[in-house]
Amino acid sequence: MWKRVSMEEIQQPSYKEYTSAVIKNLSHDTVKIKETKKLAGLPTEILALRDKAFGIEGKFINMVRDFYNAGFHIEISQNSNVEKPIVIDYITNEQNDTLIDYNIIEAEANSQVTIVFDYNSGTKGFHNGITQVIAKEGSTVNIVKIQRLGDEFNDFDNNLVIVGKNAMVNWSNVVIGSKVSAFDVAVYLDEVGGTFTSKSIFLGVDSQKYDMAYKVYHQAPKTTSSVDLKGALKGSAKATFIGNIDIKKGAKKAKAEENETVLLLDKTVKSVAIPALYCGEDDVQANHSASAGQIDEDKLYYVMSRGFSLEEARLLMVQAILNPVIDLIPYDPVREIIIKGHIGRRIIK
Amino acid sequence: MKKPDIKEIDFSIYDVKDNVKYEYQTGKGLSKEVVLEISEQKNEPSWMRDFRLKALEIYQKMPMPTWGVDLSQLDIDSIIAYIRPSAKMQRSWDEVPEEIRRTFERLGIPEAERKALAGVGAQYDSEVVYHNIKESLTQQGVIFEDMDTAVKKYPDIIKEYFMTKNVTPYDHKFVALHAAIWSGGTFVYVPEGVKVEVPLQAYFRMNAPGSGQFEHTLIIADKGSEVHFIEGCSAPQYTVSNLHAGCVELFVNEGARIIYSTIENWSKNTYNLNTKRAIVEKDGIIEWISGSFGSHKTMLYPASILKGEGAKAEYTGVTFAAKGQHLDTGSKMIHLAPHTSSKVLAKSISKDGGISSYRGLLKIGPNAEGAKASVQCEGLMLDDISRSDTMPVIEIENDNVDIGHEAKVGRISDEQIFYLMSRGLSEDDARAMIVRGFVEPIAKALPLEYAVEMNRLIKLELEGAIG
Amino acid sequence: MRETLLEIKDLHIEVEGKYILKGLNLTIKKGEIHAIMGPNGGGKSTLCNSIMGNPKYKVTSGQILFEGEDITNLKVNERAKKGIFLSFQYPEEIPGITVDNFIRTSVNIVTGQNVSMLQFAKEMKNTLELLDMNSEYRSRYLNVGFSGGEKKKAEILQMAFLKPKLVMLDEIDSGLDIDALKVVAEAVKKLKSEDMSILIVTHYNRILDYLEPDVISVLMDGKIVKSGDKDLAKILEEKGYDFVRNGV
Repeated sequence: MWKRVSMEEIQQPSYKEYTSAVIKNLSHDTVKIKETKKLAGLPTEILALRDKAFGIEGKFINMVRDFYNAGFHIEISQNSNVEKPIVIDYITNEQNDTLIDYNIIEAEANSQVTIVFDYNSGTKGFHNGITQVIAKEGSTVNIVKIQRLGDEFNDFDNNLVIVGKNAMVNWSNVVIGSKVSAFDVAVYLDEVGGTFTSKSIFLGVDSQKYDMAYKVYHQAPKTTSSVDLKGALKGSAKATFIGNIDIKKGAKKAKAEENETVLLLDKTVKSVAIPALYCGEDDVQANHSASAGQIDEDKLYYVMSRGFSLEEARLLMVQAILNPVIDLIPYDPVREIIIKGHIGRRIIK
Repeated sequence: MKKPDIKEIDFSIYDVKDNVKYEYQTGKGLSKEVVLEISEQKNEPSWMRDFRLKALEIYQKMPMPTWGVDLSQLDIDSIIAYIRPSAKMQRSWDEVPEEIRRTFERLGIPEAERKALAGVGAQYDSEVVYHNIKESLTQQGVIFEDMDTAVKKYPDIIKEYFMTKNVTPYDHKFVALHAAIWSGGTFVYVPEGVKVEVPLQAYFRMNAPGSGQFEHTLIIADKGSEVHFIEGCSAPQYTVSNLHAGCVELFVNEGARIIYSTIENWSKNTYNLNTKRAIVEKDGIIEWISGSFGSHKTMLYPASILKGEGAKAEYTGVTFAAKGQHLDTGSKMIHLAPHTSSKVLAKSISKDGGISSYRGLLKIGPNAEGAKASVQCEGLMLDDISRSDTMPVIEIENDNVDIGHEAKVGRISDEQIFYLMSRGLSEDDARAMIVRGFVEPIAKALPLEYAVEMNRLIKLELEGAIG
Repeated sequence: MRETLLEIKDLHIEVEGKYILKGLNLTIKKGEIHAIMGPNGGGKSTLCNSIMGNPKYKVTSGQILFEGEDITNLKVNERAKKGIFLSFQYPEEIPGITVDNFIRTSVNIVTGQNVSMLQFAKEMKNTLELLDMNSEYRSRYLNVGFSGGEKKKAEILQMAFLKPKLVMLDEIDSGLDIDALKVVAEAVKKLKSEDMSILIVTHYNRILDYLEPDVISVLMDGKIVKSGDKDLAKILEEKGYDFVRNGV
């Protein structure tokens, strides 16, 4: 059967310093940013979350909690609308190849912010991080996480999202790099009217191994969630997708939907999808779907009839799936790099 | 909104506790002696006796499953494994003892017989009481025999196929248990090219307190043959735990087709842990049609192994979990060869705190070029104290595939109720109609009297529920 | 002088905290074709649903009398049995139940009689023809996968069998192309008995070319603000609803 990736499978790194993070677009006076390393203690709101289950596995969480060497605590003050995205450039290289980041984002009531995490560069290394997002009443938080680490990287990302009353969190994972990459996004819609949407993509080639999970907990009435994951697998790449919609009794009028689409580009790929739906409340609308298959032959033929070679046509079709999400990345330089560099290079070999 | 006024299901027709004499009973608890007694009672050949003993060993070594329904209250040792009533196996209906005939009459067997079914193998407390094979079947070379007899009459076939190539005692603990103390069941063999026109039906029932049902069904459909087998079961209400650990092994050979229909309606204190598996060869077809009602806890996952090129499998099922019930069912579709296809339509209804779980597996192996598979799950919740869980696993190891999976959960909408009421239906009738419509794909696939029985069961289950 | 069939007195209706009907008065006589026009959001659909008894629409005060009987607190299916029929603006889909099965069940309940198979088949054939519908609709699941137009026709099919006293057509013209509208309107006309009253809620008034109204009422801001004869439609078309608003 299948198993989630576990700590035992990788060679654990020894503790190392990390100093090459760069934050861009700091020009906001309504945003307070501190390095978590330099905090006297964790914020009380975060400590209160100690019993909220999240993460790939306990061992990953504990490692970050005890050994984080990077990370930012970002507070957005009430009613502030931060227009320009805050970009956190987590660069890795030979000297900085062990990144254990602990990020905390607190959006006060009615604030709006967009934060882009770009995990990039380096050839080999280890990344294990925690990101906790608290979106208070009426706030809107947009998170984009780009993972384009080197081919020999092991990458693990544990996320916890708490959505407040009438708050909205929009989440995007762009997964392209690393040898082994796992993420887990646990979303708690604890209060009335909370909304969580997610549009994510992945591209696995060669012998990459991805483990992706979204767990949405509807614990209050009139909460809404929508998770959409699209990706393509080539070579002997493997992907596991876990999508849990968990609706608690009392979460009346909750609306939840989930969709996963995988394009299979080679005979030797492996895809496992577990779209689970747990429901304890009848007055809801919940549905999920998962589909997998090859690129539509008719579409390939059509594109080729316009002069594209088979390889080029396939690339085009894969781009068609991935681009809509890449286009959402609110930071041009990164978008360019991904489209030109990563995607093209990986599809056409 | 007022809380619904719940009435317990009126199963008076099934709650027949006949004062039937029990000729022989194995003592409480499961031991080597018990297994030997069973084998001796049946006058079995030594190879079957040895098979049972080996299975007992396996059973004793295996741990209890850690997933699925809660089995902590199940005390296997205290269940009497084997009871044989005083009647011996019969050829014609008239020869069956009065008490037993009456029970079956109330459960509708004679009517079914009159309706030109091919034959009825009926199990009454672990032993086949009545058995009748119509002439045409025998002429066609079709074997339709109770399992106990088949072991002695066709030892070569049984030895080759009985829990060797399909389900084996190593699969899980309850299969090992079954292998050790199995009793009764049906053996069907359909020769090459023969299409059995009329559905074959088996009917069995638990009656004594604590008695287990461990019947074994083995169907071999030879090349190009076709057969439709129906199993339906019921048991009266008792306080002592009842256990049903049956096993169904189906062999669909090249170009053959087996339709396997089941209406399960075990009494509300039964643990129903059943194992069903079909191996389908080239261009073969297996169709499972399943209606699961009743029982306290059920674990049932009919599996289809699509071994030959072009093999097809279809599963259409409904589960209805009411108060105190946890029905954990699903289907396993395993694609191992090129151009295989599978289709699953799983519907579930939960009410009064019942838990309905769908646990499915769709596996596409590396050689399953051109595989097509679709899964559709729909959960209907009738109140906010019940549960509907869907846990599908989709594993794909080939790119040339076309896979789709869809699941949704919801309730009967107020708008639908209003619409139907505006056409004169009362609220209860509107609900009943919508639920009937919900299970219609399953009803459509069942022979008429089973569809009627199923709709009747649903009506009973719904009665008394208000908004 | 025709008898009164439906009388609505000072009806106040609240839906999800909003007051939609604010003291509505309306009288419909037996055999009358009565059109309700008005701007969107004024309460036209609410009116139909309230007469039908949709529990979502709460009566906070006022009365609905049908054939002299107070039906304000009567359940939906009871009202259907009294002879009230609503052609829904968005008919519900009921998977698994065929059109045939459904109509037969409904007819049995509302008329209280078992319709004979032969009679039913005959009537079905005739009505399907009248509505320019293929007989294969009989075995299709009720409204499942039907286009907007097909759904409206299926509503009239049901109406034909139930032979109601009051037929409410809730925006039957929306979603129908010119030809289909003609078919449906002519069918309703043909199916209308002398005593059958028809309440037409319409947005455009093309349907009024086929079903000539005896009375036109304008519903605005939750009340009937003006009534007139069929010429009122032309006036509204030329001058718009503001004319009525200002005139009141």
